[in-house]
Formats: sequence, structure tokens, C-alpha cells
Amino acid sequence: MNSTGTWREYIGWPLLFGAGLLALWYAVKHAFGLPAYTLPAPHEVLAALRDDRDTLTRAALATAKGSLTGFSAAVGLGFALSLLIAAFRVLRIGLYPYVIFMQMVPIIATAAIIVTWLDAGLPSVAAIAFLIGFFPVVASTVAGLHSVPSQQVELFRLYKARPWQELFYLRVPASLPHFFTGTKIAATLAVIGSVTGEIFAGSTARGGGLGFMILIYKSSVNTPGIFAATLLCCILGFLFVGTVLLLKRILLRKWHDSLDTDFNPL
Amino acid sequence: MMSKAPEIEFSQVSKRFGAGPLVLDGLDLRAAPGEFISVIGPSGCGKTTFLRMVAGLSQPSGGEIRFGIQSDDARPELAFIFQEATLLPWLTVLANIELPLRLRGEPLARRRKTAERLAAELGLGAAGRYHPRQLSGGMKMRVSLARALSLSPDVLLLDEPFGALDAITRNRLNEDLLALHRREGWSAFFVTHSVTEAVFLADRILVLAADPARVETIIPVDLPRERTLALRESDEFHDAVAEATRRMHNILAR
Ligand SMILES: Nc1ncnc2c1ncn2[C@@H]1O[C@H](COP(=O)(O)OP(=O)(O)OP(=O)(O)O)[C@@H](O)[C@H]1O
Ligand SMILES: [Mg+2]
Repeated sequence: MNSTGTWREYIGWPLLFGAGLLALWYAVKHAFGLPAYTLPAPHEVLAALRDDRDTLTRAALATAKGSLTGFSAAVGLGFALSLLIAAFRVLRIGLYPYVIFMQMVPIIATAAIIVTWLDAGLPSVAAIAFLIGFFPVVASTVAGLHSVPSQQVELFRLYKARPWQELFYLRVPASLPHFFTGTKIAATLAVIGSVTGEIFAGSTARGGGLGFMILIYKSSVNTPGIFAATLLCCILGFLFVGTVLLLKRILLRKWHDSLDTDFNPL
Repeated sequence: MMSKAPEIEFSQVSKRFGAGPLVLDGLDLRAAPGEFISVIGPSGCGKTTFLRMVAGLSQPSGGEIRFGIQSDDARPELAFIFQEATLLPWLTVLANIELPLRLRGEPLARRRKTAERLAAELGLGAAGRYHPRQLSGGMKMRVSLARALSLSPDVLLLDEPFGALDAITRNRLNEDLLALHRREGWSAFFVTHSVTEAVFLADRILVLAADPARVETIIPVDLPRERTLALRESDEFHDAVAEATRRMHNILAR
């Protein structure tokens, strides 16, 4: 992936550390004599996954659907609003501060408010995933649209570029790395947002998602089940972020420098 | 294709930023069509400011810059070459070169042909599909030059374009620039910190002083227009550089 590492290292080391962490997990469990309802062993989590695989698969798909709906809306509408903010000074001065401000709203509060407004189930879950991803996308993209070096802007002015040309030929491509930064955050938060939403609002739907499953397992003190559902949340988030980074790599590979460092957090 | 380089007349041009001190004060200069003028002076004396005013990126605080021959509404075609190549990293070399034409709405096939011709002329033929990050500093500057030439400019404004390059690359670019100048006939204002470069390129050298801003002088370069590698090694050239250096020091020491 970069000049100092080989694929063998990139697979070998994570496997080795993974094995080490699993060993530590078992060691802690045995050292303190913890029962499964306090700390299930990895194999007990896997067993829970296997036992409930049909329910959990349905739940994971429901969560994926809510996350994807909210995430897509966050990226699409967020990008659109960013263009408007870049194009109109009034919006930049008047509206953008509130975008920054809205990023500070805690997700739990968002969830609590949304469920009083919308139907439980997909609508409110997707709305929460949307709201939590929307503002980071706008904040990063607007920052990107305005991070163009002033000489490049002057170049466009010198060539008598029209405002729309400056926006689409200069600012939009220049903002893509920032846009992807926002999108990556939105992808992570979308899954967290839906699960939070489901814990608040998914409970009435049949197939209520992973958050709902966590509630069910909690009420029956099925800790391995909670772990299993949580594991699926992580995998889902990982797939979301991975897809975004892959898209970024495909789109920006030819010209952007930060890709190599960017891939490591994956 | 000879360009229709205009005569350019500066009368009592001055510039200050806000309430700051005068950066340029009462500059008078008449540049003949197709003339190559080097601009030299200590850092902060207003060389970039001068170029930006010619380009229309900044307005004089006083006085006037007039372009001869053409009518009032048709300003001559101006191309600005910054110290950094200022390429768009997401575009290929060819796409960078043809950018000005694309902004004018020229169809792809036509502008691509122009870009390919310019790339070949500037020795970038093999690099057409590269992205800027794959280019050396010298090649980037060549792309920047090609882009500036894509609109067949009448006036070229160059702000220390080769300052960051090594001596060999810089000399080669100087010679290529002069060859293009001979053929295309645009006027040029070329800012540099190197007296040798200024002498090698120019018909005349404009010396700007920082303090007081009023002092500016023209040093004519008394060399044949044909400037070659051989000339660079001649006594004649060394004498011209020595003479320009001496006069510049006199001016700046006043
Ligand atoms: N936009 C601006 N606002 C205020 N002052 C400016 C601005 N641009 C330039 N100046 C001032 O004008 C003076 C001349 O600047 P300029 O960039 O033209 O110098 P220069 O001769 O190009 O210097 P260098 O050789 O370092 O590039 C400087 O004192 C600078 O601080
Ligand atoms: Mg300068």
C-alpha cells in the first residue's frame, strides 16, 4: 500500500494483534471468573450470533436500510446546500454559522426529539441518521469549497471565467477531499445514529433493527446477544466507511496526496 | 502567427494599499509592441503589484495604464504566469493547458488540438496524460507557460516564474521562452531577482526601488536580439551583466 509496507505485513500484524486481544479477553474473563451475563467469551458471542442468525440478519438489514437512507440523504442534500452556500454570500454569512452550531447537538437529544415528531421505525431512524450526517457533510464541503488557493481563483478571474465555471470547474473539484472527509464522518455516524434511533424509536416495528435487538437482549439479560448485535453494528459501520474510502480512492487516486495516510484508519 | 501586441503606456502610475505608504509612485514608461521588459528590484518594492495592475487584477491608486491600438472595449489578451505553476491537480497536463480555452467555451476537439500542439512545442509531448503531481518543477512551469500561451496572448506577465528552478533548467526555459517570443511576438514583463536572467531576456530592464518608491529607472540592454547559449558565454554578455549590476546598485543606493 505504501513503499515501506507489504501486503503480508498489513494482514499479518492486524491478525497478530487481534489474536493478542482475544487472548487478553479470555485472560480477563478467567482471572476474574466472570460469567457470560457479565462478560461473554468470544466464542459465546459467536454462539449468540449463530443461534439468532435469522433475527439478527433481519435486524442488521433493517439498520442498514435506515442508515443508508439517512446517509444518502445527508450526502445528497448536504452537498446541494454546500453549493448554495458557496454560491450565495448571504447564505454563507447568515446560515453557515448555524450549520456549525447544529453539529454540536448531541445525537441522543436529536433522537429524543425526532421520535416525538415522526412515526417509530424507519422514518424516524432514517431521519436521525440523516440529521447526524448532514451537518458534518455541509461543514466539511463548504470549508473545501472555500479552501481553494487564491492564485487559482485569480487565474479563473483572469481568464474571465463565469461564476458557475468557477464553482464547477474549480471549487467543486478542489473541495472533493474535504467532501469525502465529511462523508466519512457521516458514514460512521449514520450507523451510530440509526442504532441510537432504534433504541429510542425502533421498538414498535417488527424487524426493529440492531438497536431494537440490543433492547430485547438487555431485557432478557442476554449479554452475549448484546455483544453479538454490537459486533454487527461495528461491521456495518466498517462497511459504510470502507465503501466511502474506496469511492474516494477511485475518484481522487490520480491527483490527491493524502490517500495513503487516509487508508490506514480503515 | 504574430500577435497584435499593443503599445503599453504607463503615465504617473502610483499605488498604495489602504492607508499604507506608496508602493509605486509616479511610474512613467512606454513599452513598445513586442518589447521584452525585465523587472527587477529588492523584495517588497512592488514588482508583483506592478504586474497585477497591468493584468487588471488590481487598480492603480493614481495615474493610468493605457493599451495602444485597440479600441476601448477590446482589451488585449493578457496572460499571467505566477511564481508557482498554479496547475489544477485534478486535471491532466493537456486539460490544464486547454483550461483557458475551455472556459471560453471552445469545443473539446479544437482545444485539444491546440493543447497538444503547445505541449509538443514545450517539450511535454510525452507527458500529456500525466497529472501535475507526476511532474518535476521544470515541467510544471512548462505546463503553466503552455497554458498561458493557449489563448495566443498579446502580453505575457511573468512573476519570477523560474525562481525555484535549478540553473540548468532555468537557462533552458529562458532560451525556450525567447524562441517563443521571437516567433509569437507578444510583449512581456518578466519579474526576476537575477540580473543575469534579466539581461539575457530583456530589451530593457525596469528597476524598481522600495524606499523611496518614486525611484525607478530603465536600463537598456545593449545586446543583439538573437540570444543564444553562445551569447551567454561571451564577454559582451558578461560586460552587459556587470554594467546592469553597477547601474542597479547606483540606483538602489541613492
Ligand atoms: N494586498 C495587499 N494589501 C496590502 N499591502 C500589500 C498588498 N499586496 C502587496 N502589498 C504591499 O506592497 C508592497 C509591495 O509588494 P509586492 O508583492 O508587489 O512586492 P514584490 O516586489 O513583488 O516583492 P517580492 O520580490 O518579495 O515578491 C509590500 O510592502 C507589500 O506589503
Ligand atoms: Mg513578488
